[in-house]
Amino acid sequence: MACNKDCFTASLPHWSWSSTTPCFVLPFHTAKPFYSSPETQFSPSKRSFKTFAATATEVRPAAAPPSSLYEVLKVKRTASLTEIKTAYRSLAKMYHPDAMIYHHPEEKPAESESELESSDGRDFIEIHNAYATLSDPAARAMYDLSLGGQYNQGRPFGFGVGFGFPESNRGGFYTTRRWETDQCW
Amino acid sequence: MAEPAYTVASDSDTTGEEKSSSAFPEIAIGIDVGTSQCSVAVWNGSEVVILKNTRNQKKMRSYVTFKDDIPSGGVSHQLSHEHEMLSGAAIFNMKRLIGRVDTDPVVHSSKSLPFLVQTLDIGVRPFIAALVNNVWRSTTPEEVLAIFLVELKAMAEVQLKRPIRNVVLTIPVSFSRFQVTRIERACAMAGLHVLRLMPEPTAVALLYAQQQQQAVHENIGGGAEKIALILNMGAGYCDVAVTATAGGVSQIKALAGSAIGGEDILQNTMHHLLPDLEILFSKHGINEIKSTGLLRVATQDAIHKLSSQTSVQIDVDLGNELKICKVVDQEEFEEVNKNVFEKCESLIIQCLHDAKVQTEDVADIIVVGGCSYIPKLRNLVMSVCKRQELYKGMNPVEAAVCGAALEGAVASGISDPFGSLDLLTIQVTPLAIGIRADGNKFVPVIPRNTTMPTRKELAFTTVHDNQTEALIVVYEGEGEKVEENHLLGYFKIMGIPPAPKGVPEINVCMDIDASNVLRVLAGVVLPGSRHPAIPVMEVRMPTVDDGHGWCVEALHRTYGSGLDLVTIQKKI
Repeated sequence: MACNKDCFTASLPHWSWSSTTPCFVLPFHTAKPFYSSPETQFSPSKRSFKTFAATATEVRPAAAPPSSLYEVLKVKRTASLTEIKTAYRSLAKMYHPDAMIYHHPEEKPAESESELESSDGRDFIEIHNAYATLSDPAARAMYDLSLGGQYNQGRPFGFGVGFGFPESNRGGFYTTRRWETDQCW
Repeated sequence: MAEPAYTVASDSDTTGEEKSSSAFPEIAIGIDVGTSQCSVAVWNGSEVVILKNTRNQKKMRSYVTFKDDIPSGGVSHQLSHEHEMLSGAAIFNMKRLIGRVDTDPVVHSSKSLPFLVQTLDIGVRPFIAALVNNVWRSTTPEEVLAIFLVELKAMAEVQLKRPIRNVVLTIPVSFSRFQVTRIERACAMAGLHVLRLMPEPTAVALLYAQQQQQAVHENIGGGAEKIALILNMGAGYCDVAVTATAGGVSQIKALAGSAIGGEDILQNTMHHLLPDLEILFSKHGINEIKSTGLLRVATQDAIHKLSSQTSVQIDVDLGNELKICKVVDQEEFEEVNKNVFEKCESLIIQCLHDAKVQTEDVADIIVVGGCSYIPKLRNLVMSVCKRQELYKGMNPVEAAVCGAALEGAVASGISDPFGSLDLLTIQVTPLAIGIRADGNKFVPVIPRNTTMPTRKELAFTTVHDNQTEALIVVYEGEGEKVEENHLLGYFKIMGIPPAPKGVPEINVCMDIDASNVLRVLAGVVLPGSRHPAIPVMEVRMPTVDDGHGWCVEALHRTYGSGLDLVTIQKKI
């Protein structure tokens, strides 16, 4: 469980790729907040791997700890398997690169294609990774254990859940707003 | 959506045109180019319609005849008789031949076809030629497919009264990435832009998702996740998918496929009827072509009859005093094709296993494709899944093209007021992708059945002290040894800082985006550093085809194990 601290710390440079790959790594801590409110989520971040690699060498401020997998799926920690599956599907409909075309038909086809290309579907990858863990009872149990431990330790520079920003009113979910989502990206 | 890897002249003049018509996004058409038959469908604004050719056919034979100066395909051309297709002048089964090298068993089994398939058995592309006025005129599967697609495009343009550019094409699950580039190439040659290439059973899965969605709308409630097993078997390929569907979202859980199909059944049966068939077609003279053609038509006819009859009488005069007069019954037919049915069974079992689904969890079993009429195949699927009946809501030969048309509408950004297009397919990788390491082993970085888009990485290290260079050889497939897999490409990492063996960490990252474009990235990190020691390499694959196995052999001869890598054993 020693590795868990690393994998939930945003200060870990992208560079270490998998040297400390734990079971529940969130592979892309993109600056783009994908679990923000639907009104703000579609700002396309045009980052190809090249820019990604370039920014990777800068040590980023450890300001925003990545949220828990439950927050990624916008479900409660007590959510049932059905709730998790439903949440995954509805998020997939919004964040899957194919579905984003559907939700933004007013955009010019050619243009939206290139935008989606550059977003690389990373949001969806994170959503899927969260789903893969939480939909597997054994993996979820292990994850819950690691999450518990982490709360006790507290995160360096982080706002634990319930600190920083008030909980969102939407459907009683945990807050999905964070430091990054409140910036103008 | 990425542009195809190959661009042609027609690609350059499209930007202005697309912008001007952006108010009405062009709906991509769905094309199902089968080994034997082909169809086109499109979303007409409220439902999927299958387009018909001038002879009122929904299904058109996939072939191109080179009889006259201008080749003509099965879309426009009228066959005077089935034998005309078997005179040597027509090329068909392109889908079995495309992107394969001449050491491939599928290419070898195509040598009994009337046109010329010549192999040198050294891993180069086979020589394919049509007989035109007693001359074997060479062509390529890409060219034949492109000619055929041009006809389909023209047919659709006439009917839809608008230029067609974007298409969604169905492809077999077992296609290698190189084969996929060949399909894209053929489309580019035909002036078509590939919006999506869908594995055939996933197109069927999308149609199923839409049907489930509509069923839920009609009787409020329900809407729980339903698991379906889909088997699609046509003339060239057998593909299986397990999908979990709810709310119009089809999450593919696993895929399995093989180049086995009706063509194999046909050839097995032909060999059964005429054991020394090899001698006949190896000569490939005019008379032999004619005899094989006659046998082919008679056998095909008999197989069709066996779908509804218990036995069939075959009576055919092949000329040269060669006559076949035989009764074949169901049991004999099944015995002759045992290998085909066993392979199908193993694909279903493997797919269920990979999907981690128990047979009792499967809500619907869908069997589609031309071979779905074979009683043995239907029984086999039902017995593996321990079911008494199959899903009835689909036309077996139209399901894939309808799914492709739905995807075409969804991917074109069309929305439907009734929510009929509120659909999404979440695809998985049909084959594992990895690199050569630990000697001659294939080490997967992205395992098969990984949800796309995806990005995975694995750490490797050097095998020699002060090793400054390493070779990354990328393969796709399921074999444990590299030779059993499809080569996708190779590149060298240079400038690894000198260090004892096992110290430098070489990270290999593979990225597949939503458009199914594969990028392989490799970088070097030294312990204690968080910065890459040298610039990261990024290579878009595939860069080569299977035939380039030679080059890899040459690399090994030149460098020995000097540029090898091993996996880093990680503690979990």
